[in-house]
Parts: sequence; C-alpha cells; structure tokens
Amino acid sequence: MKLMTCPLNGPRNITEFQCHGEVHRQPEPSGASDHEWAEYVWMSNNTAGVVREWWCHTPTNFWFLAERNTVTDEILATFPVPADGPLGEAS
Amino acid sequence: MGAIARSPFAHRLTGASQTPQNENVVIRDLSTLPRIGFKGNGTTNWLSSKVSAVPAAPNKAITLSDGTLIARLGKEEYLVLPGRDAVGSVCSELEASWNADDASGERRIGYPLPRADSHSWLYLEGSSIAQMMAKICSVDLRGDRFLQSEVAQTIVARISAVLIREITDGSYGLHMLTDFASADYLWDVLQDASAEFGGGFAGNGRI
Repeated sequence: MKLMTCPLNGPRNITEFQCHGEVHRQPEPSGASDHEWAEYVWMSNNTAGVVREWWCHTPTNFWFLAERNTVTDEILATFPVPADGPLGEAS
Repeated sequence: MGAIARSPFAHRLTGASQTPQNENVVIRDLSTLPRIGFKGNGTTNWLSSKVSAVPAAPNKAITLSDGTLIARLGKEEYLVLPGRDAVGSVCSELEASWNADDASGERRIGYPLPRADSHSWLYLEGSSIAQMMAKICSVDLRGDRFLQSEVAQTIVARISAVLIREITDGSYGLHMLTDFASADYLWDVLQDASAEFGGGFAGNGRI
C-alpha cells in the first residue's frame, strides 16, 4: 500500500486521500476577462513532472498541499495551507 | 445535545447477540449516550472558557475531573463525550451555553456540531482489541504505539472512524465513533472480526 503523510494525521494509506488537482491561482473575478476566467475554470496544465496539488484527507476533511511527480507518482512533500501568502503554482 | 432515543445497533442487540466468551474483546454500545462537537473559528477560545481544560494539540484527548472526555479533532474542532458516571449532562449544558452566547451577539465562537445522530458510538475493551483492529484498520493501534489519550481519525472497514484511546488505569479501551447509517454493516464486520478472539457484544451502557 502506498503511504502519504498528512500534515495533520501523519502517514496513512493512500486510500484515505483524494487528489483534487493542481493548484491554480484564481484571477480576480470582477476584473478577469472571459478568456482568463474560462482558462482558470476549464483548463489544466497537465504537467509531466513535479506539480503542486490540492489533496484532502477524507476522514478528517483536512485539505492540504502536496508536491508530486506526475511521471513517477512519487510524493515529494506535503504541507498545510500557508496562513497567508501565495499557495504556489505549477509552472 | 440530547441523546437519541434508539441506538442504530438496537435491532441487532436483541435475541441472538454474540456474547463475549472471555475478556479479549468486549464491545459495548454507547450510542444512546449524548455527545456533541464544536467547530469553527474561535472554538478553542470559546470552549476553553467553558471547561477546565482542552487538549493542547489536534488528535489528542483529555479527561476532565467529572469524567468528560474532550477530543481535539482539528485546530478548531472538538468532540465532547460524557463521563462514565456522569450525573449532569455536560453536552446539553455546553449546547445551552453556546446558544446563550450566540443569542447575546457573541461572534467567532464557532458552531455546534450535533453528533448523536451522525455518529454511532462503540466502546471496545479487552486484551485483544489492538490485534482485532489490525484486521480492519491500517493504523497501528498496539498499546505501546497508540498511547492513552491519542486520537486517530482514519478508515475502519472502509468507513470513516474516530478512534480515541481511553484514559484509564484498566485494560486497553477504545472509543470508536463511525457513520450512524453504516451501523448495521459495521455490526457484521465486528462480529466477524471478534469471533476469532471469542469476543462479542456485551449489551449497551458502560460497566
């Protein structure tokens, strides 16, 4: 069984987690053009390599961030959502 | 929060219940006792002002002098379980207190989470509990690894569960709170898992 380390609960089976896709920076809703907004809502980078993603530990509903290599499926790091500042984005 | 009228295990506890043959695995149904949670911004400050102590970190529990068990499930989330010989009802008192504070206009005090009808509540006790749980849960619950007052929020038999190691001088005890609606399924799982150890269900209520 693959393990993932939850920042709140520690190492757990990967089946306790759900991946919610790569982190995107939300454009300012009132100022964004339709193109920018559609890009944000519908498009993903689908990077082959290291990406930063949203994950959720489902028994606690705890949301956090993880860096994962999408080619090898190796989880490089997990960390809680920063209290302030940017979440970081996949390049 | 008032207790529920009927346990989700009630229909399985009558008649041909599997009674424990020894002290290895004894499962008690505490679902009819009250329980309540609190969550949201400001909950830690609010709850700290109502009870003598709260756990210092998430996934830890403490027992107050009246036997009330308070488990910290997150930075701002708590679960309150009444004590073994509770005379008053700490759950309904806390709920009334929250309602009063909310009505008086206090803000950032979190919100109550009714738990009596969302989570069933079993108490597992005995020398083989950790061994039995190893069959249905991937977290290491052995007595020297999962210490008293520790909390594990995980999956048991494919359903979400809150596990709390009882703080007691006696034998290994584990509170298990799981989805209320999955109780019938969980009963079958526990019956199957405990049979190997001669364990079973010892009716409802505490000793």
